[in-house]
Amino acid sequence: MSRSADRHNLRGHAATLLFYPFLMLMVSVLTYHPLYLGTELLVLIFALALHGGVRTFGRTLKFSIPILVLILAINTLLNKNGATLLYKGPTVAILGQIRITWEALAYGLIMGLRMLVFFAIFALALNWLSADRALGLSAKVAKRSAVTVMMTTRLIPYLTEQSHQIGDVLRTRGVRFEEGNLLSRLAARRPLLNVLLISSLEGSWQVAESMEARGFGQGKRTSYSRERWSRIDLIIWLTFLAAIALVVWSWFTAWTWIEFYPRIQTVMADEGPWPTVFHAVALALLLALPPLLLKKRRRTSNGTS
Amino acid sequence: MIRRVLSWLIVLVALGGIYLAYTLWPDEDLNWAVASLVLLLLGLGLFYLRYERSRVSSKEIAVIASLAAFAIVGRIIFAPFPNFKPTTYLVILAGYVFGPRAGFMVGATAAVASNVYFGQGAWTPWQMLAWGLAGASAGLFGRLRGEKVTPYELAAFGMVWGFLFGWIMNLWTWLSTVYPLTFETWLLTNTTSLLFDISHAAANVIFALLLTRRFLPILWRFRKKLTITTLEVLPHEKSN
Repeated sequence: MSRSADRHNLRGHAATLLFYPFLMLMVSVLTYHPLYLGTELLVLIFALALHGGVRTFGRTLKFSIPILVLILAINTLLNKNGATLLYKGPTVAILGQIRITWEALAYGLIMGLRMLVFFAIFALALNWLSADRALGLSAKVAKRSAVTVMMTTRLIPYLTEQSHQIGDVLRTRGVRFEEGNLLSRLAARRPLLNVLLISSLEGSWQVAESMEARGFGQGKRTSYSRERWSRIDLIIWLTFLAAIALVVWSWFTAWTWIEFYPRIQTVMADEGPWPTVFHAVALALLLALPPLLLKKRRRTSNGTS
Repeated sequence: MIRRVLSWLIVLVALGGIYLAYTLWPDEDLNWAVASLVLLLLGLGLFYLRYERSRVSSKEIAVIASLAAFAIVGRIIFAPFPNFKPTTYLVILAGYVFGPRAGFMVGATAAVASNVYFGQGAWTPWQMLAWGLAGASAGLFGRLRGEKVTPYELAAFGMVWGFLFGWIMNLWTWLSTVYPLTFETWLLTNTTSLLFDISHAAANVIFALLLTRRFLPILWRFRKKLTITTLEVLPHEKSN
């Protein structure tokens, strides 16, 4: 679980907090216009910075470098549809003749940008919504599935603890977990797994019995914590609607449209860059609004009434 | 009945979506990033709908949760071996014995719950799908072979899933960031994870050979215990 999240500074209903990343994801898969993707990344970094999640994002970036290199390499080396030749090399097996074009390079770079946007979206979702709240929300729509996941998350630390105990017992009986080659070390853990499987299955029987005794599945599900809708949520959902309308409009006017091959084409060539730029900026401003509204104002020491 | 209608509705929406996508963008211009995401969510939704609508007993829920937790804890127990994790094999085993629905749920639940501890990300829904399908297909295999199965058959099954798992996980990267979508680009995308896939498949084979003989009888026994039928309340008792 992400520990850097500063969730006390956040307000809003769980559904609002979940829909925002989803909306961002839909925008990033609908278009690969670099202008839209770029402004989206800026908005995401702004949101992460505002709510203290930049470090989480930074950590995921380390893992994303190989994927980014891979995306760039596959797109530039394998795509031969571009018209503007940058480099022509020898013929290689599988790849054919090496032919690097500007269009393929730009495509690879923009797709890398898209991948960064994906990572930022998930970093934000993690930062905003704890697993408990997300599960609590999904329990509203999918009761049994949410209960299954909740029970699993509860069982993991319990079973881990139990596995340590079983391991200790086995050690006192002379089982050596760290001796021998790989196979024998793997096999040494077999009795441990065996005992753990039986005890966890037996335990599940007891859980089921107590669920029955407490009347699981009878009537409406009760919950300790309650999600509340506030005026802020209403305003944010209105900005969501406005953003969706704007995206649909941009989609139909082809501002989000970009064609890479054989040459990069956008509507910017026909009608000048400004309509597209205005739209991208307007969308960015709209999307930057929810993180700002969700930020809880800090109470000053004399302002607590 | 409603469940069946809803399930078919989702399937029809998915098929209709694919048809529309192809007629609207006939020249390979389909936005696969969107299409794959929508299809994935519909597919997962279909499985979850089945689970929600079927009258799953609290015993079944508890067993599924225990097996999913067990699969994840297996990952923790084998922490000293970075490339040998029994999770996939345990999901397959659970699906094999308890059937496709329980198998899918064990796999998908293991993916969500393990990522609560190890970090959620864009890969979570794909991991849910990959492990879920591993469990569900094992369930179908189980219906076919039943209790006669040998560890070698399950080892072969696990080996196949070692690779399929990696391919499913790479699918989104390929669909949403690579152009053109040809066999060559697919192959190259998958070569980057080839070493992981090979060690994943090897781990499945080793665990199948190590664990099957001991674990299958335990699981069969619990399955028998699970299929206890509850009695209906008699009419004269209802009036009280």
